[in-house]
Amino acid sequence: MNIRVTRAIALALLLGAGTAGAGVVDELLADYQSAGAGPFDPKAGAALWLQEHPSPEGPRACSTCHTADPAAEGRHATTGKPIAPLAPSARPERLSDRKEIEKWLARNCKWTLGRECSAQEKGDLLAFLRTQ
Amino acid sequence: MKRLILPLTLLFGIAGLLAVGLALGDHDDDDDDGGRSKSSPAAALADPGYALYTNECGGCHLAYPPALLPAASWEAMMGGLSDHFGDNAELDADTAATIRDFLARNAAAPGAGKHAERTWRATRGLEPPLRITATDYFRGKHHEIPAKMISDNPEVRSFSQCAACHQGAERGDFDDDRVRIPGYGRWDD
Ligand code: HEC
Ligand code: HEC
Ligand code: HEC
Repeated sequence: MNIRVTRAIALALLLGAGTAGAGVVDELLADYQSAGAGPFDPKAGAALWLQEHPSPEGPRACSTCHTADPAAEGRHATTGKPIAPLAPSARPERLSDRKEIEKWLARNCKWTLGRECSAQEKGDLLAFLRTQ
Repeated sequence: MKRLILPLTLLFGIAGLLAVGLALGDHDDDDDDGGRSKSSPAAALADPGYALYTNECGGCHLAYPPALLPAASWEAMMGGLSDHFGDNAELDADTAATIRDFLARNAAAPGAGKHAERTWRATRGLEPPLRITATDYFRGKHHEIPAKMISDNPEVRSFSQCAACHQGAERGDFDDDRVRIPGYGRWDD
Protein backbone atom coordinates (compact mmCIF):
# COMPACT_ATOMS: atom_id res chain seq x y z
CA MET A 1 0.00 0.00 0.00
CA ASN A 2 2.71 2.42 1.08
CA ILE A 3 4.77 1.62 -1.94
CA ARG A 4 1.78 2.16 -4.17
CA VAL A 5 1.01 5.52 -2.55
CA THR A 6 4.60 6.65 -2.92
CA ARG A 7 4.62 5.55 -6.52
CA ALA A 8 1.34 7.31 -7.16
CA ILE A 9 2.62 10.52 -5.65
CA ALA A 10 5.85 10.33 -7.64
CA LEU A 11 3.88 9.76 -10.81
CA ALA A 12 1.45 12.55 -10.01
CA LEU A 13 4.37 14.92 -9.65
CA LEU A 14 5.86 13.68 -12.90
CA LEU A 15 2.65 14.15 -14.83
CA GLY A 16 1.89 17.42 -13.15
CA ALA A 17 -0.66 17.00 -10.39
CA GLY A 18 -3.85 19.02 -10.20
CA THR A 19 -5.72 17.30 -13.03
CA ALA A 20 -9.13 15.92 -12.15
CA GLY A 21 -9.53 12.44 -10.68
CA ALA A 22 -5.87 12.50 -9.73
CA GLY A 23 -5.81 9.78 -7.06
CA VAL A 24 -7.54 6.91 -8.81
CA VAL A 25 -6.15 7.49 -12.30
CA ASP A 26 -2.63 7.79 -10.90
CA GLU A 27 -3.07 4.54 -9.09
CA LEU A 28 -4.16 2.79 -12.28
CA LEU A 29 -1.32 4.32 -14.30
CA ALA A 30 1.16 3.15 -11.66
CA ASP A 31 -0.28 -0.37 -11.95
CA TYR A 32 0.00 -0.39 -15.74
CA GLN A 33 3.55 0.85 -15.36
CA SER A 34 4.49 -1.98 -13.03
CA ALA A 35 3.02 -4.30 -15.69
CA GLY A 36 5.73 -2.99 -18.02
CA ALA A 37 3.86 -0.23 -19.85
CA GLY A 38 4.57 3.49 -20.03
CA PRO A 39 5.35 6.29 -20.36
CA PHE A 40 1.80 7.32 -21.20
CA ASP A 41 0.99 9.78 -23.92
CA PRO A 42 -2.26 11.80 -24.03
CA LYS A 43 -1.75 12.33 -27.78
CA ALA A 44 -1.62 8.58 -28.40
CA GLY A 45 -4.77 8.27 -26.26
CA ALA A 46 -6.52 10.95 -28.31
CA ALA A 47 -5.63 9.13 -31.54
CA LEU A 48 -6.87 5.79 -30.17
CA TRP A 49 -10.10 7.50 -29.05
CA LEU A 50 -10.93 8.33 -32.68
CA GLN A 51 -9.39 5.29 -34.38
CA GLU A 52 -11.97 3.20 -36.26
CA HIS A 53 -11.96 -0.59 -36.03
CA PRO A 54 -13.86 -2.66 -38.59
CA SER A 55 -16.75 -4.87 -37.42
CA PRO A 56 -19.58 -6.67 -39.24
CA GLU A 57 -21.92 -3.84 -38.17
CA GLY A 58 -19.62 -1.11 -39.47
CA PRO A 59 -16.63 0.80 -38.09
CA ARG A 60 -16.42 1.24 -34.31
CA ALA A 61 -14.52 3.76 -32.19
CA CYS A 62 -14.72 5.09 -28.63
CA SER A 63 -16.28 8.16 -30.21
CA THR A 64 -19.12 6.03 -31.66
CA CYS A 65 -20.87 6.24 -28.29
CA HIS A 66 -19.01 9.05 -26.51
CA THR A 67 -18.63 11.42 -29.53
CA ALA A 68 -15.26 12.86 -30.64
CA ASP A 69 -15.34 15.26 -27.68
CA PRO A 70 -15.30 13.50 -24.30
CA ALA A 71 -16.77 16.63 -22.72
CA ALA A 72 -19.93 16.27 -24.82
CA GLU A 73 -22.95 14.08 -24.09
CA GLY A 74 -22.82 10.78 -25.93
CA ARG A 75 -25.37 8.26 -27.13
CA HIS A 76 -25.15 4.47 -26.92
CA ALA A 77 -24.73 3.11 -30.44
CA THR A 78 -27.23 0.25 -30.10
CA THR A 79 -29.73 1.40 -27.49
CA GLY A 80 -29.64 5.16 -28.14
CA LYS A 81 -29.53 5.95 -24.41
CA PRO A 82 -27.83 9.29 -23.68
CA ILE A 83 -24.45 8.91 -21.94
CA ALA A 84 -23.28 11.75 -19.70
CA PRO A 85 -19.90 13.32 -20.65
CA LEU A 86 -16.80 11.32 -19.66
CA ALA A 87 -14.53 14.34 -19.22
CA PRO A 88 -13.87 15.23 -15.56
CA SER A 89 -14.01 18.90 -16.58
CA ALA A 90 -17.66 18.43 -17.53
CA ARG A 91 -18.50 15.89 -14.84
CA PRO A 92 -16.18 15.85 -11.81
CA GLU A 93 -17.29 12.40 -10.58
CA ARG A 94 -15.87 10.76 -13.71
CA LEU A 95 -12.66 8.71 -13.42
CA SER A 96 -12.99 8.65 -9.64
CA ASP A 97 -13.93 5.00 -9.08
CA ARG A 98 -11.34 2.39 -9.90
CA LYS A 99 -13.73 -0.54 -10.28
CA GLU A 100 -16.01 1.47 -12.54
CA ILE A 101 -13.14 2.55 -14.81
CA GLU A 102 -11.74 -0.96 -15.12
CA LYS A 103 -15.14 -2.52 -15.75
CA TRP A 104 -16.04 -0.11 -18.55
CA LEU A 105 -12.58 -0.14 -20.15
CA ALA A 106 -12.76 -3.94 -20.30
CA ARG A 107 -16.26 -3.94 -21.83
CA ASN A 108 -15.77 -1.02 -24.18
CA CYS A 109 -12.41 -2.20 -25.50
CA LYS A 110 -13.96 -5.58 -26.32
CA TRP A 111 -16.87 -3.91 -28.09
CA THR A 112 -14.76 -1.33 -29.92
CA LEU A 113 -11.50 -3.12 -30.74
CA GLY A 114 -12.80 -6.68 -30.55
CA ARG A 115 -10.25 -7.45 -27.81
CA GLU A 116 -9.07 -6.18 -24.44
CA CYS A 117 -6.87 -3.08 -24.52
CA SER A 118 -3.21 -3.47 -23.52
CA ALA A 119 -1.91 -1.74 -20.40
CA GLN A 120 -0.20 0.78 -22.70
CA GLU A 121 -3.46 1.56 -24.54
CA LYS A 122 -5.44 1.91 -21.31
CA GLY A 123 -2.77 4.18 -19.87
CA ASP A 124 -2.73 6.38 -22.97
CA LEU A 125 -6.54 6.58 -23.00
CA LEU A 126 -6.71 7.58 -19.33
CA ALA A 127 -3.86 10.06 -19.75
CA PHE A 128 -5.92 11.64 -22.52
CA LEU A 129 -9.33 11.50 -20.81
CA ARG A 130 -8.14 13.01 -17.53
CA THR A 131 -7.05 16.17 -19.33
CA GLN A 132 -10.45 16.61 -20.94
CA MET B 1 -19.61 5.00 -0.85
CA LYS B 2 -19.75 8.53 -2.23
CA ARG B 3 -21.36 7.15 -5.36
CA LEU B 4 -24.28 5.88 -3.29
CA ILE B 5 -25.24 9.10 -1.55
CA LEU B 6 -26.79 10.82 -4.56
CA PRO B 7 -28.76 7.76 -5.75
CA LEU B 8 -30.00 7.15 -2.19
CA THR B 9 -31.07 10.76 -1.72
CA LEU B 10 -32.84 10.63 -5.07
CA LEU B 11 -34.39 7.31 -4.15
CA PHE B 12 -35.94 8.59 -0.94
CA GLY B 13 -37.07 11.76 -2.66
CA ILE B 14 -38.70 9.78 -5.42
CA ALA B 15 -40.28 7.30 -3.05
CA GLY B 16 -41.80 10.25 -1.19
CA LEU B 17 -43.14 11.82 -4.38
CA LEU B 18 -44.59 8.51 -5.50
CA ALA B 19 -46.32 8.00 -2.19
CA VAL B 20 -47.95 11.42 -2.58
CA GLY B 21 -48.85 10.66 -6.20
CA LEU B 22 -50.50 7.41 -5.28
CA ALA B 23 -52.36 8.92 -2.36
CA LEU B 24 -53.73 11.69 -4.60
CA GLY B 25 -55.52 9.07 -6.60
CA ASP B 26 -55.02 6.81 -9.48
CA HIS B 27 -57.43 6.90 -12.33
CA ASP B 28 -57.38 4.15 -14.85
CA ASP B 29 -60.36 3.21 -16.90
CA ASP B 30 -59.42 -0.42 -17.40
CA ASP B 31 -58.55 -1.16 -13.81
CA ASP B 32 -59.52 -4.65 -12.79
CA ASP B 33 -57.17 -5.25 -9.92
CA GLY B 34 -59.51 -4.25 -7.15
CA GLY B 35 -57.79 -0.93 -6.48
CA ARG B 36 -54.33 -2.33 -6.01
CA SER B 37 -51.54 -0.02 -7.04
CA LYS B 38 -51.16 0.16 -10.80
CA SER B 39 -47.58 1.18 -10.33
CA SER B 40 -45.85 -2.16 -10.03
CA PRO B 41 -42.96 -0.87 -12.20
CA ALA B 42 -42.33 1.73 -9.49
CA ALA B 43 -42.46 -0.66 -6.54
CA ALA B 44 -38.87 -1.80 -7.16
CA LEU B 45 -37.60 1.74 -6.58
CA ALA B 46 -38.23 1.34 -2.85
CA ASP B 47 -36.17 -1.87 -2.69
CA PRO B 48 -32.73 -1.38 -1.06
CA GLY B 49 -31.22 -3.25 -4.02
CA TYR B 50 -32.40 -0.64 -6.51
CA ALA B 51 -29.36 1.68 -6.35
CA LEU B 52 -27.00 -1.16 -7.28
CA TYR B 53 -29.41 -2.34 -9.96
CA THR B 54 -29.63 1.04 -11.73
CA ASN B 55 -25.91 1.51 -11.48
CA GLU B 56 -25.07 -1.87 -13.04
CA CYS B 57 -28.03 -2.39 -15.35
CA GLY B 58 -28.86 1.21 -16.22
CA GLY B 59 -25.64 2.27 -18.01
CA CYS B 60 -26.45 1.12 -21.54
CA HIS B 61 -30.24 1.46 -21.36
CA LEU B 62 -33.00 2.28 -18.92
CA ALA B 63 -32.83 0.06 -15.84
CA TYR B 64 -35.88 -1.88 -17.04
CA PRO B 65 -38.70 -2.45 -14.53
CA PRO B 66 -38.21 -5.91 -13.02
CA ALA B 67 -42.01 -6.31 -12.72
CA LEU B 68 -42.34 -6.69 -16.49
CA LEU B 69 -40.63 -10.08 -16.76
CA PRO B 70 -41.10 -13.22 -14.65
CA ALA B 71 -38.32 -14.46 -12.35
CA ALA B 72 -37.41 -17.27 -14.77
CA SER B 73 -36.62 -14.70 -17.47
CA TRP B 74 -34.34 -12.68 -15.19
CA GLU B 75 -32.65 -15.87 -14.05
CA ALA B 76 -31.93 -16.82 -17.66
CA MET B 77 -30.67 -13.33 -18.47
CA MET B 78 -28.35 -13.21 -15.46
CA GLY B 79 -26.89 -16.55 -16.57
CA GLY B 80 -25.77 -15.15 -19.93
CA LEU B 81 -24.43 -11.64 -19.34
CA SER B 82 -21.23 -12.18 -21.33
CA ASP B 83 -23.37 -12.35 -24.48
CA HIS B 84 -26.18 -9.97 -23.69
CA PHE B 85 -27.97 -8.98 -26.91
CA GLY B 86 -24.57 -8.79 -28.62
CA ASP B 87 -23.01 -6.75 -25.81
CA ASN B 88 -20.80 -7.77 -22.92
CA ALA B 89 -22.56 -6.97 -19.64
CA GLU B 90 -20.58 -9.27 -17.34
CA LEU B 91 -20.49 -8.58 -13.60
CA ASP B 92 -18.39 -9.98 -10.79
CA ALA B 93 -20.01 -12.91 -8.97
CA ASP B 94 -21.00 -10.98 -5.81
CA THR B 95 -22.64 -8.13 -7.69
CA ALA B 96 -24.44 -10.56 -10.00
CA ALA B 97 -25.79 -12.52 -7.02
CA THR B 98 -27.14 -9.37 -5.33
CA ILE B 99 -28.83 -8.23 -8.53
CA ARG B 100 -30.25 -11.68 -9.18
CA ASP B 101 -31.92 -11.60 -5.73
CA PHE B 102 -33.24 -8.09 -6.34
CA LEU B 103 -34.77 -9.13 -9.67
CA ALA B 104 -36.32 -12.28 -8.20
CA ARG B 105 -37.93 -10.23 -5.37
CA ASN B 106 -39.41 -7.70 -7.79
CA ALA B 107 -40.28 -9.88 -10.77
CA ALA B 108 -43.74 -10.35 -12.30
CA ALA B 109 -45.84 -12.41 -9.91
CA PRO B 110 -49.46 -12.76 -8.82
CA GLY B 111 -50.40 -10.13 -6.23
CA ALA B 112 -47.45 -7.84 -7.07
CA GLY B 113 -49.54 -5.08 -8.69
CA LYS B 114 -51.44 -4.77 -11.94
CA HIS B 115 -48.64 -4.74 -14.50
CA ALA B 116 -46.70 -7.45 -12.69
CA GLU B 117 -49.72 -9.70 -12.36
CA ARG B 118 -50.73 -9.30 -16.01
CA THR B 119 -47.19 -9.95 -17.18
CA TRP B 120 -47.07 -13.05 -15.03
CA ARG B 121 -50.36 -14.28 -16.53
CA ALA B 122 -49.19 -13.53 -20.07
CA THR B 123 -45.97 -15.52 -19.68
CA ARG B 124 -47.17 -18.39 -17.47
CA GLY B 125 -46.25 -21.80 -18.88
CA LEU B 126 -44.17 -20.33 -21.73
CA GLU B 127 -40.47 -20.53 -22.44
CA PRO B 128 -39.24 -17.50 -20.40
CA PRO B 129 -38.95 -14.51 -22.79
CA LEU B 130 -35.67 -12.55 -22.69
CA ARG B 131 -37.30 -9.31 -23.75
CA ILE B 132 -40.01 -7.28 -22.05
CA THR B 133 -41.00 -6.20 -25.54
CA ALA B 134 -41.67 -9.86 -26.46
CA THR B 135 -44.38 -10.53 -23.86
CA ASP B 136 -48.03 -10.58 -24.90
CA TYR B 137 -48.77 -8.09 -22.13
CA PHE B 138 -46.30 -5.58 -23.61
CA ARG B 139 -47.50 -6.23 -27.17
CA GLY B 140 -51.12 -5.80 -26.15
CA LYS B 141 -50.35 -2.37 -24.71
CA HIS B 142 -48.33 -1.19 -27.73
CA HIS B 143 -49.83 -2.81 -30.84
CA GLU B 144 -51.78 0.31 -31.85
CA ILE B 145 -48.64 2.42 -32.27
CA PRO B 146 -47.66 2.63 -35.95
CA ALA B 147 -44.11 1.86 -37.15
CA LYS B 148 -43.58 5.42 -38.37
CA MET B 149 -43.52 6.48 -34.71
CA ILE B 150 -41.00 3.77 -33.71
CA SER B 151 -38.53 2.17 -36.13
CA ASP B 152 -38.80 5.06 -38.59
CA ASN B 153 -38.44 7.62 -35.81
CA PRO B 154 -34.75 8.48 -35.20
CA GLU B 155 -35.54 9.59 -31.66
CA VAL B 156 -37.14 6.26 -30.73
CA ARG B 157 -35.73 3.56 -33.07
CA SER B 158 -37.15 0.61 -31.13
CA PHE B 159 -39.60 -0.29 -28.38
CA SER B 160 -36.65 -1.14 -26.11
CA GLN B 161 -36.11 2.63 -25.71
CA CYS B 162 -38.92 2.98 -23.15
CA ALA B 163 -37.82 6.40 -21.90
CA ALA B 164 -38.16 7.97 -25.37
CA CYS B 165 -41.96 7.81 -24.98
CA HIS B 166 -42.42 7.27 -21.24
CA GLN B 167 -40.63 10.37 -19.94
CA GLY B 168 -41.16 9.22 -16.35
CA ALA B 169 -39.68 5.76 -16.98
CA GLU B 170 -36.66 6.37 -14.71
CA ARG B 171 -39.13 6.95 -11.88
CA GLY B 172 -41.09 3.82 -12.75
CA ASP B 173 -43.91 5.91 -14.26
CA PHE B 174 -45.43 4.19 -17.32
CA ASP B 175 -48.87 5.76 -16.97
CA ASP B 176 -50.54 5.82 -20.40
CA ASP B 177 -51.82 9.37 -19.70
CA ARG B 178 -48.27 10.70 -19.56
CA VAL B 179 -46.85 9.23 -22.76
CA ARG B 180 -45.32 11.64 -25.26
CA ILE B 181 -43.95 10.22 -28.51
CA PRO B 182 -41.04 12.33 -29.84
CA GLY B 183 -42.09 14.19 -32.98
CA TYR B 184 -45.76 13.27 -32.44
CA GLY B 185 -46.63 14.60 -29.01
CA ARG B 186 -49.06 13.22 -26.48
CA TRP B 187 -50.70 9.88 -27.06
CA ASP B 188 -54.48 10.03 -26.93
CA ASP B 189 -56.42 6.87 -27.44
C1 HEC C 1 -21.19 0.87 -27.30
C2 HEC C 1 -21.07 2.17 -26.64
C3 HEC C 1 -19.72 2.55 -26.04
C4 HEC C 1 -18.49 2.59 -26.68
C5 HEC C 1 -18.17 2.29 -28.13
C6 HEC C 1 -17.54 3.02 -25.68
N1 HEC C 1 -18.17 3.26 -24.49
FE1 HEC C 1 -17.31 3.93 -22.78
N2 HEC C 1 -19.09 3.76 -21.80
C7 HEC C 1 -20.28 3.39 -22.38
C8 HEC C 1 -21.33 3.34 -21.37
C9 HEC C 1 -22.79 2.95 -21.60
C10 HEC C 1 -20.71 3.70 -20.15
C11 HEC C 1 -21.34 3.77 -18.77
C12 HEC C 1 -22.42 4.77 -18.69
C13 HEC C 1 -22.07 5.93 -17.85
O1 HEC C 1 -21.20 5.81 -16.98
O2 HEC C 1 -22.70 6.98 -18.05
C14 HEC C 1 -19.30 3.96 -20.46
C15 HEC C 1 -18.35 4.34 -19.52
C16 HEC C 1 -17.03 4.53 -19.78
C17 HEC C 1 -16.03 4.85 -18.78
C18 HEC C 1 -16.29 5.00 -17.27
C19 HEC C 1 -16.11 6.42 -16.83
C20 HEC C 1 -16.37 6.66 -15.36
O3 HEC C 1 -15.42 6.81 -14.60
O4 HEC C 1 -17.53 6.71 -14.97
C21 HEC C 1 -14.83 4.98 -19.44
C22 HEC C 1 -13.46 5.28 -18.83
C23 HEC C 1 -15.09 4.71 -20.84
N3 HEC C 1 -16.43 4.47 -21.02
C24 HEC C 1 -14.10 4.75 -21.82
C25 HEC C 1 -14.31 4.31 -23.12
C26 HEC C 1 -13.22 4.11 -24.09
C27 HEC C 1 -11.75 4.39 -23.83
C28 HEC C 1 -13.81 3.62 -25.22
C29 HEC C 1 -13.10 3.15 -26.50
C30 HEC C 1 -12.14 2.07 -26.31
C31 HEC C 1 -15.24 3.55 -24.98
N4 HEC C 1 -15.50 3.95 -23.70
C32 HEC C 1 -16.17 3.14 -25.91
C33 HEC C 1 -20.50 3.10 -23.70
C34 HEC C 1 -19.51 2.98 -24.67
C1 HEC D 1 -22.86 -3.06 -21.94
C2 HEC D 1 -24.20 -2.58 -22.17
C3 HEC D 1 -25.33 -3.25 -21.37
C4 HEC D 1 -25.39 -3.49 -20.03
C5 HEC D 1 -24.35 -3.16 -18.96
C6 HEC D 1 -26.68 -4.13 -19.77
N1 HEC D 1 -27.38 -4.24 -20.95
FE1 HEC D 1 -29.28 -4.96 -21.16
N2 HEC D 1 -29.19 -4.63 -23.16
C7 HEC D 1 -28.11 -4.11 -23.85
C8 HEC D 1 -28.41 -4.06 -25.28
C9 HEC D 1 -27.47 -3.56 -26.37
C10 HEC D 1 -29.73 -4.55 -25.41
C11 HEC D 1 -30.55 -4.67 -26.70
C12 HEC D 1 -31.29 -3.37 -26.85
C13 HEC D 1 -32.05 -3.22 -28.12
O1 HEC D 1 -32.40 -4.20 -28.75
O2 HEC D 1 -32.34 -2.04 -28.46
C14 HEC D 1 -30.20 -4.90 -24.06
C15 HEC D 1 -31.47 -5.40 -23.78
C16 HEC D 1 -31.93 -5.72 -22.51
C17 HEC D 1 -33.28 -6.20 -22.22
C18 HEC D 1 -34.39 -6.41 -23.24
C19 HEC D 1 -35.19 -5.13 -23.48
C20 HEC D 1 -36.38 -5.40 -24.37
O3 HEC D 1 -36.26 -5.21 -25.59
O4 HEC D 1 -37.43 -5.81 -23.84
C21 HEC D 1 -33.34 -6.43 -20.88
C22 HEC D 1 -34.55 -6.92 -20.10
C23 HEC D 1 -32.02 -6.09 -20.33
N3 HEC D 1 -31.20 -5.64 -21.35
C24 HEC D 1 -31.68 -6.23 -18.99
C25 HEC D 1 -30.42 -5.93 -18.48
C26 HEC D 1 -30.01 -6.21 -17.12
C27 HEC D 1 -30.86 -6.88 -16.07
C28 HEC D 1 -28.72 -5.75 -16.99
C29 HEC D 1 -27.82 -5.80 -15.76
C30 HEC D 1 -27.47 -7.13 -15.28
C31 HEC D 1 -28.32 -5.18 -18.27
N4 HEC D 1 -29.37 -5.32 -19.15
C32 HEC D 1 -27.10 -4.57 -18.54
C33 HEC D 1 -26.92 -3.67 -23.30
C34 HEC D 1 -26.59 -3.73 -21.95
C1 HEC E 1 -43.06 4.50 -29.25
C2 HEC E 1 -43.36 4.93 -27.90
C3 HEC E 1 -43.30 3.90 -26.78
C4 HEC E 1 -42.21 3.15 -26.39
C5 HEC E 1 -40.82 3.15 -26.99
C6 HEC E 1 -42.65 2.37 -25.25
N1 HEC E 1 -43.95 2.62 -24.96
FE1 HEC E 1 -45.05 1.86 -23.43
N2 HEC E 1 -46.69 2.81 -24.09
C7 HEC E 1 -46.74 3.69 -25.16
C8 HEC E 1 -48.10 4.15 -25.35
C9 HEC E 1 -48.58 5.11 -26.42
C10 HEC E 1 -48.89 3.52 -24.35
C11 HEC E 1 -50.37 3.66 -24.10
C12 HEC E 1 -51.10 2.68 -25.00
C13 HEC E 1 -52.60 2.79 -24.86
O1 HEC E 1 -53.06 2.94 -23.74
O2 HEC E 1 -53.24 2.73 -25.89
C14 HEC E 1 -47.97 2.68 -23.58
C15 HEC E 1 -48.35 1.90 -22.50
C16 HEC E 1 -47.46 1.21 -21.67
C17 HEC E 1 -47.82 0.49 -20.47
C18 HEC E 1 -49.22 0.36 -19.89
C19 HEC E 1 -49.54 1.51 -18.98
C20 HEC E 1 -50.85 1.27 -18.27
O3 HEC E 1 -50.92 1.62 -17.12
O4 HEC E 1 -51.76 0.74 -18.91
C21 HEC E 1 -46.67 -0.02 -19.93
C22 HEC E 1 -46.53 -0.83 -18.65
C23 HEC E 1 -45.60 0.33 -20.82
N3 HEC E 1 -46.11 1.09 -21.86
C24 HEC E 1 -44.28 -0.03 -20.62
C25 HEC E 1 -43.28 0.20 -21.56
C26 HEC E 1 -41.92 -0.31 -21.43
C27 HEC E 1 -41.41 -1.12 -20.25
C28 HEC E 1 -41.24 0.08 -22.53
C29 HEC E 1 -39.82 -0.26 -22.91
C30 HEC E 1 -39.45 -1.69 -22.89
C31 HEC E 1 -42.16 0.88 -23.34
N4 HEC E 1 -43.37 0.90 -22.73
C32 HEC E 1 -41.82 1.48 -24.56
C33 HEC E 1 -45.66 4.09 -25.94
C34 HEC E 1 -44.40 3.55 -25.88
